[in-house]
Amino acid sequence: MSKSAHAPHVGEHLKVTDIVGDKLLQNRLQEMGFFKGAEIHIVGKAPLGGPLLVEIGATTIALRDEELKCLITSKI
Amino acid sequence: MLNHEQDIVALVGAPNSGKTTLYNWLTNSKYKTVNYPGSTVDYAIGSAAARAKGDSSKDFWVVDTPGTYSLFPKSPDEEVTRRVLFEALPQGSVGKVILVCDGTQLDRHLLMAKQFKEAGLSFVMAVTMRDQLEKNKMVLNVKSFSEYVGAPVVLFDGVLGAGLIELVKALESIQPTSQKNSGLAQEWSQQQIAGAQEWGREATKRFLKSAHARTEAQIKSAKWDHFFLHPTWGLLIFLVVMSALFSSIFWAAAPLMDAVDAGFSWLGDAVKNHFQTNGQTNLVGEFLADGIISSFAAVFVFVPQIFILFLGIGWLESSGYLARAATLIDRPFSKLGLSGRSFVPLLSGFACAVPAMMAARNLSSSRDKWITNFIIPLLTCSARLPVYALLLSFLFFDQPAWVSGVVLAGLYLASLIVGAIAAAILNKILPPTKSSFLLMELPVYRRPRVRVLLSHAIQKTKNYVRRAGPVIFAFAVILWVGTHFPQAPEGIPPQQQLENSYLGKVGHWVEPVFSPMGVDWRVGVGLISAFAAREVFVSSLAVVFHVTGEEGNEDSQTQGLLKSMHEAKNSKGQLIFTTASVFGLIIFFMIALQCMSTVAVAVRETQSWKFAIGQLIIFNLIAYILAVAIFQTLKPGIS
Repeated sequence: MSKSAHAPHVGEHLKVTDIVGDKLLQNRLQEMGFFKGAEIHIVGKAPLGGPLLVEIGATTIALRDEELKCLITSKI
Repeated sequence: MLNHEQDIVALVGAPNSGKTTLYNWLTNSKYKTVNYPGSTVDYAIGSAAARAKGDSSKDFWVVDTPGTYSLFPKSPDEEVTRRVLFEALPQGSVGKVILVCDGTQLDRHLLMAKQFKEAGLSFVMAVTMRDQLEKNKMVLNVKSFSEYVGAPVVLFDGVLGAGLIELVKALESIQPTSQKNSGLAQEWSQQQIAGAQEWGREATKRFLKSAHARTEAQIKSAKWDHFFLHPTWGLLIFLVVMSALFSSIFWAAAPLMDAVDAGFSWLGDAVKNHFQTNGQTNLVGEFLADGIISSFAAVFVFVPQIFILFLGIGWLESSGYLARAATLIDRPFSKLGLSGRSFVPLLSGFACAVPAMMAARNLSSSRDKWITNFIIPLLTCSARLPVYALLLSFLFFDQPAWVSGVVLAGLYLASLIVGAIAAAILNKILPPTKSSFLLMELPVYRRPRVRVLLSHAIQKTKNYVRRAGPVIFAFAVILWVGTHFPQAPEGIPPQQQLENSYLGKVGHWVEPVFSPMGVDWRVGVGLISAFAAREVFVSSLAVVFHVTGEEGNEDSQTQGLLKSMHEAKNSKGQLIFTTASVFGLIIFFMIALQCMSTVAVAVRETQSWKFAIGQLIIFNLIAYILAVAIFQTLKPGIS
């Protein structure tokens, strides 16, 4: 499976297949609940080109584009 | 003060997990904010409330720590949590920990339980949002869950306090941490974190039975976010909310500020009447009234605004809206080298730079924090208002009132723009770092509890007075001494006393610096005085241009001052206050860093004298150059 980041769009349901990038960021993403196999839902994007609103389980987290890029995902 | 034999219990948990609510139940909302030595972040410590003491009625202390996702810190306030747990506090060592986990997000909050076990920390788990669990028919098998976790687990309801006694009993049942074998090695690897999270998800799956994946409140909040984070509506709501906060800081505070002012004036007059020699107030009386009491007034006159600011921000934060505001503003701010989280500090800067810089503490990226702290003094703080009011009244004396109002609004906007430009420049100059991230959890919307809000706002206001107060006070007293000594003989009018005083002499001496701005030594004295607190500029001018007006009638004093300003001439016979020079003064006040409290807080918050002095020099230099440029450009041919 290609490791290139799939550019997520609002409304998509995705599955996290890998977490990459800056080590600190990787750990923080995990600590906040992202994990390999997690199902996430891109519920929206903040205006002004702002962060993406990502639903994981019962929580919604705002992620910058570059932070979301650390999550390698595939469409469900 | 603290009995070292008393247990110290630390509350640790993720942000928004209900930690502070539990803290308030345990201590009855009493707390003392304590600064952790060597750090700029404070923590709150309080003694257990009577109802929380359990069977043994033993006293214990509770420490509320900053929210954290992991025992491996990734921001300054998470670092404090780590240190509170593993290093000896000035008050003693933390013996027991309550790990606070949000019951409605349990699968994500169990990581630290694993970390605690590895670190050898003695803990009890409080699963909060019990009321939400019940409402949504989510049932936790506490006994089995507790066995799996290997620590006592208690369900807690933050609304009614149910579970509090059980929690205290559970605390009594565990042995304190043996400090000798507790601690953590280096940062966990990705695998370790993944393993611990897997363990947590497994626990939730096995022991928490729920009909739905999300609670009603979570679903509702998600719906509301369609609105609050909407491209159009979201921004509109943001502007409305910010304007409301902004205007309440000024308009709601105004009557309170007048009251504070009147109170201190009354006190000052009473003192002056009391300390008299030959029917006139003597030096002691003047020192007490104009030196001491006025200096106190200079500190306290802005307390109403600071209080309302903290109340407003506290409300926004507890309701959950603040996270959305930070999300909305994150992208534009990132372009300037700031972060969405810089939002609260910058907003606070419109009241006063001191609480603003203190609020910048929990910016995780030191680069974001640096830039934020650097531009905070550029935002139009409350102390500039009296100065602007005076100068604008002068400029627009023959115009209807609304003209000044519009220009004032323009000045606020201008300070925002100048701040943005400064941030952008710094962003280009400073070397880039990777450590800035947002990763903002959007908590469920909830109705803030007024009592807690008030108590927090009061506490923060007290902190403000403790930080800013002494510096303002010290400088105000120094200024008073500087203007009253050497003492002129009796009968000499005040402005001559001023001229011959130390400050007056200094003013004369630096006059060549101020004349390119179009003003003379008297305004120079005012500008120097403004270093204690900017609003002192106005009262200083009143003295130096010998304005008396009627005692206590502020309007007549202002009118008197304006009249004097229209007539004041320098030694060459030229008018001092002209459109050009006043415009120059306005620009000077907009940019110059004149507040010594700000310098003091800057040193403390950035732990760097270089930063604070650099800021002081750069802003004052730029302000001066611009003021001179404006005066020199505008002066020919204009009144």
